[in-house]
Amino acid sequence: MSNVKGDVAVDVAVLEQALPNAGLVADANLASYAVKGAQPLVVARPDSIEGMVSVLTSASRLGAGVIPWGGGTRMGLGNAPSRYHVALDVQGLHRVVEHRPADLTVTVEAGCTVQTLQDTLRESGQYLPIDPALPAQATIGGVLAMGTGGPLSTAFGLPRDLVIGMQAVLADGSMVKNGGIVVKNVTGYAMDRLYIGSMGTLAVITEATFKVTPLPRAEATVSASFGSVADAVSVCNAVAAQGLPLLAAEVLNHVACTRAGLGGNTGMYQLFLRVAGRSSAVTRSVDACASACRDHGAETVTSMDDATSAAIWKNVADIGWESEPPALALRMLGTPAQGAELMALAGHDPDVSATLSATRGVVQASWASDATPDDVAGYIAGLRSSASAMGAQVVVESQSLLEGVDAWGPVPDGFAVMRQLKEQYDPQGLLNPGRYVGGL
Amino acid sequence: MEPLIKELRQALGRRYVMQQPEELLVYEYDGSVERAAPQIVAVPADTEQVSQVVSVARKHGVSVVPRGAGTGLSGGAIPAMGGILMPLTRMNRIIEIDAEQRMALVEPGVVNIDISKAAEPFGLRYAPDPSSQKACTIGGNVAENAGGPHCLAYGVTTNHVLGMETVLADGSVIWVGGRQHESIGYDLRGVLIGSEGTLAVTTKVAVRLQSLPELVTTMLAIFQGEDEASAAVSAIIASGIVPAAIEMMDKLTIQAVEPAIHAGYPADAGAVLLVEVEGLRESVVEEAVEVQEICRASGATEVRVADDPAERERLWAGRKTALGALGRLAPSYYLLDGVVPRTRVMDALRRIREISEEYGLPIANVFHAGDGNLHPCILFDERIEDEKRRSKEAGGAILRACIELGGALSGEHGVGLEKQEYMDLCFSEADLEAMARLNPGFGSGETFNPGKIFPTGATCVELLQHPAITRLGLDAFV
Repeated sequence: MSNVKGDVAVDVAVLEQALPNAGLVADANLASYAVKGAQPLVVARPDSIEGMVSVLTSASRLGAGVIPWGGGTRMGLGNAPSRYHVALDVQGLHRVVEHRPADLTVTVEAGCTVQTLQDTLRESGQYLPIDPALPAQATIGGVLAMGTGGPLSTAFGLPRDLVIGMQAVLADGSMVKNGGIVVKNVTGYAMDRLYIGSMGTLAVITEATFKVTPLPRAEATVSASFGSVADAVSVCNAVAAQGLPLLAAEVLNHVACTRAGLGGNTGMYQLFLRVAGRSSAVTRSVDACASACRDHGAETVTSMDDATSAAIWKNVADIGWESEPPALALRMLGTPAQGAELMALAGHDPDVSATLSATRGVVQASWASDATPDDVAGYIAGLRSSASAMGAQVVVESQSLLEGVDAWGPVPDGFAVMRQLKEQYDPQGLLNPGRYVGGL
Repeated sequence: MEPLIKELRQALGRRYVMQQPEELLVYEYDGSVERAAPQIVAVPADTEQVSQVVSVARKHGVSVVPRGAGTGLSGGAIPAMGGILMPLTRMNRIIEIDAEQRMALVEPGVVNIDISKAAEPFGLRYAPDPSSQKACTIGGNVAENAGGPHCLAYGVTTNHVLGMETVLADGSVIWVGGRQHESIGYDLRGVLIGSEGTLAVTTKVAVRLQSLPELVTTMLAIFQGEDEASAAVSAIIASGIVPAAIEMMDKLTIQAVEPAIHAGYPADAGAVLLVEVEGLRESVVEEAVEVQEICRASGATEVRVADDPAERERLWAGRKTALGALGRLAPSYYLLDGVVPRTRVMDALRRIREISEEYGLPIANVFHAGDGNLHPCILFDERIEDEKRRSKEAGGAILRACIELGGALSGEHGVGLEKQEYMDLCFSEADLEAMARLNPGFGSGETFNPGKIFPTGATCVELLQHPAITRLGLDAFV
């Protein structure tokens, strides 16, 4: 395999000469940095911010296409790159820079894994309430570049809601900062919001500061099985309306349940409600959740405490990514009220593993490599047409190139502004070229 | 000017386009100390009219300054370069409360507290509560990314806005974000919130609502000094409790408040902390006990506790009337908005005391201690030119001190006109240049609220145009 129709002037020798101080990885396994079949010419793994600046400055001078890499757990996202010369591995920047427990803040480099960060925070009885799949591999930079939420987003919002400061390097190599280490800050534009969720197409995130949260004193999970998704969603709405300390609320189809090792009966949907806080509040919340489940016709209701509860959620967060990225995954984005309908749409395929973030209207569906739908393009086109009719989006994630499938579907409202922003921040189109929404 | 006025009147109707100096007067100030008059005030009724105003302005090369209730404290709604001032207060409908999806769709002119009032019958509320919440509008809150006492636990405006309908400089109308919790593409919503009306105009806002807490307990702890009170704040956070609010008032504030509302603060009280915990009954009861213990252990001489609404209101009364009460101590005050890491509050207060002595002006502090968001209030007499000058210099010294302590220029009031010349204390040229690229990205040009946020190298006084002031004389509205 070779690089995709690259600029002929950019070859390995030119890059090696141009990137002397950028942490070029000698004898890098280029295949392990392939994106949809495209391989880079070189891999750079700088271990300092200066090195990062150096890579991007040189790449910009050469007009080389750069794809930033974190832990690589979500590299199946997006379209095939239109140019790919340099794999920029940010894992050389992996320090927890400063945890200030009394300030409830932490500053961390982009290449630090979520797990390493959580382990550091736990020593002080705190955590960052994000729960992406494969936390031991997923990096903070990757999570922010993606910008999507996990089950804990039910209570804490998206990763962007926890960010209070950011350092990034723009496509031209300029290092920029915004925000700081204070929890409330409106000094200047919220540039971090632009970079978060932009999939590395505007800047390479190199460091972020977050507000963190004390670990709850107790937690529990209530689980119940329902014949319909709508009933499970009604339970979540009822629980939320009572003001219970609900951290997460996910509905799993039976394939998802089985893959997460959580049982599961064909045709049934399993609801998992995670509550946390002081033990007295947790005890009452468990009772309230259980009765809400029974009121909505749950067949069996169980509850699990502390360690068992936490273990369940580790598995739920990993669904589809149990050991490695799935062959095909879809993320369906609707309003909270559309969740049940989206889940029903996704659930048509008997092999799909599907989860619904019940108060958020986000469905994650995935297929194991041996079970993807026969006509993927046709299947996705059908799904998209139904979703579009509801105003919902379907994002396609796959390791291999899918002929005739755009990863993002129709461009969103405001796309003209997004294109102008890309023009402003990456005028040469060097960062993740062609992979993001509408070819951004 | 005449063709412009004519076109605006065609779009909005005669009475909603004003240009007489006496009509413009009330629009030349906001909650800050700056003033500048617009040439025209145009008051649209709906999104289409906003779009028309923007298009007409663009065609004539005139800028538009969107305005909510004008309660902002950094000059965000001051038409620094003149042009058209566009109040959005006619657009004040609550379009929809969706109790099940816990969302409200409102127009920008809706007053902050009215969202919570409309949501209350459904057991819901809108969490961010700026101190001006009885007057300020949600559109202004979005522009400034407004905060408030209860942001300690719940975050600021950006954490509660799902999406906005927005008019761009070319008059086009787009939605950024929406009812969905996740969407694809760049987070234009997140960028526009807090952009101080410089990039686009918000015409509808979809906000998240949250359940009303089952129980709220408010505690007022009286301390001998600020250091003890600050230590109590740190100890509360360290214990793993994140109260809904932690507010502090210093000795000078207490001395102003006590004669005004007779709260019963001891004459020698050095600091008062207000701590509010809320949530499920079980948690609140336990946390309230722990907070009281921590306050006493940190040196509180008295802790008052209330959990019924009337009693709680009484404990809050001192805090809520503090700014007004400070008016008893001096004819004018300059209210600042700096922020430091919460563990540096004690150091910041110490620096403020030094600055107060250095500049010979009393400075009162009433602020969001749990967030490290300081609101030093410099007392002076604006009729005395030298005091006015010193108040500005002392303000600058305080902002510099905040930066030195690892903080930032503004926690919740914005940069506006007030702090633009301090921006290079926080940001490098590259940082500011990256921010400046947003403007061409949104195609905004000089259309919206020009002359704000970025350093101009000029002082505010030089920058501002004062047509109404020069015509009518300063005394006309003092």
